[in-house]
Amino acid sequence: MSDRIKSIIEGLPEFRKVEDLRNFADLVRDVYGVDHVVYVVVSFGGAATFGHYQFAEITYRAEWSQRYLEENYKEADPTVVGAVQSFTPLDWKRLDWGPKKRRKLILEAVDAGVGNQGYTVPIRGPNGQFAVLTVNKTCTDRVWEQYIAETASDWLLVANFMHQKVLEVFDVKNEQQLAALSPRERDALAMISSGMSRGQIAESMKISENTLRVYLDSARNKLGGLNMPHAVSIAVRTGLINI
Amino acid sequence: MIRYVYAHELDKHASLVDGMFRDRAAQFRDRMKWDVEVDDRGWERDQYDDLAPLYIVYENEDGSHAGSGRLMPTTGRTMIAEHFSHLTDGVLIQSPTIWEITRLCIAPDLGSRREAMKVTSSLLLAGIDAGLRFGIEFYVAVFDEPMLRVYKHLDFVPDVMGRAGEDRRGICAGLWECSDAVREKMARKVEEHEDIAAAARRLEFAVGA
Repeated sequence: MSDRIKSIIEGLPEFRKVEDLRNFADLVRDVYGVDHVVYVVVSFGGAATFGHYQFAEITYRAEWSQRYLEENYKEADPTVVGAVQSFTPLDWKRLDWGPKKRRKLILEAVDAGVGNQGYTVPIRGPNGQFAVLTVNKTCTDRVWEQYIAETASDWLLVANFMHQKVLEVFDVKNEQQLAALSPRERDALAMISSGMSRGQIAESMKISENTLRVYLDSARNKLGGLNMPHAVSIAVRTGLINI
Repeated sequence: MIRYVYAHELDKHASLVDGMFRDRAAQFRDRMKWDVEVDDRGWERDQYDDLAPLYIVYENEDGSHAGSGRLMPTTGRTMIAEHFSHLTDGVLIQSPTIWEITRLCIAPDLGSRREAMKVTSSLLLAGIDAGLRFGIEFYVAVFDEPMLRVYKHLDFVPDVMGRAGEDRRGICAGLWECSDAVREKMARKVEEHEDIAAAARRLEFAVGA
């Protein structure tokens, strides 16, 4: 389990107001040692409105955000174009920066304090919800490769978590995310919270340990937890399970 | 060789892709008698093909289709959650670190069983390599029970979460861990494992081009 995820959980804001999302972005930036965190909702659902950001939380300097809009860089930006086309994260290094406008974009961006390395995670929800989380960092290719290998899973979790929190703060209904836990997921959570080992739980539920891990991970995701202890504490707090 | 093809790149590989969708019709409609739709081009396509999946395609030296599979995130719509949750104890599997693999297909005209095994193992290894690259921890899939023997032969045995149906005609919901240990074990059976790893590292160059 990632220590960085633990630090994020310890520092979580309450997610009542929009400012809490900014605090979360700052927390992620500090814990993960990246230069910037950019989270943009392209669409809250319904007809996709690509190009009209509906919400953005950006740790960039204001001048760079302004410049990006003025130059209409989003149309050339391969991280944006790529995120629209795929569900897999995009490593900036692997994108095609050859075309002239893209070269101009990356050079100006680095000048403006954007890291030379970046990772963009597309987030999709039901009904056409679409958002992206981008982090960037200044470092060599070698350091970056190692860094992403270590943190790739975390970015999926953090991006998904932030998206859930944005939907909560903006009170966007998200039926799929709110899907109730099945009785089996609840049983597994209750047993985990009672201190049983995974081996014991799997045996008692007559499933394999990996099946248990997948069930628990689905429950964790539905509860909006960043790791298992976090999910259990949410389940207890909301009265879903008793201990 | 293995190619990773994003949905938006399908038309760049017209004849390969034509072969893929036709071979899917041959496998799922003709051979396995699944109730799937085939359009007037002879392509078996379903609603999930419209959701921007990532395809893994094995291309023969002459450019034709030898086999393929389709990857989707379980945070979006999946077959296993929408149609097969009775095989997973009613649990809707849904997590950013779990992907689904569907429509695993082998061309009907491959020369031998050995050839079919080679293509299958390469496709599965390519799935693991893509998953490792992006931090995925598990794959889930629904498959016909006889495939269990194939997976066993390839040293890639899934955990079966649940099964339904009569003997030998049953279907299973399975999962595979996506880890370096699993990768290493599988790679021993796959001649082209280094090429596949390189393709997974390159994956993305074409995005936005």
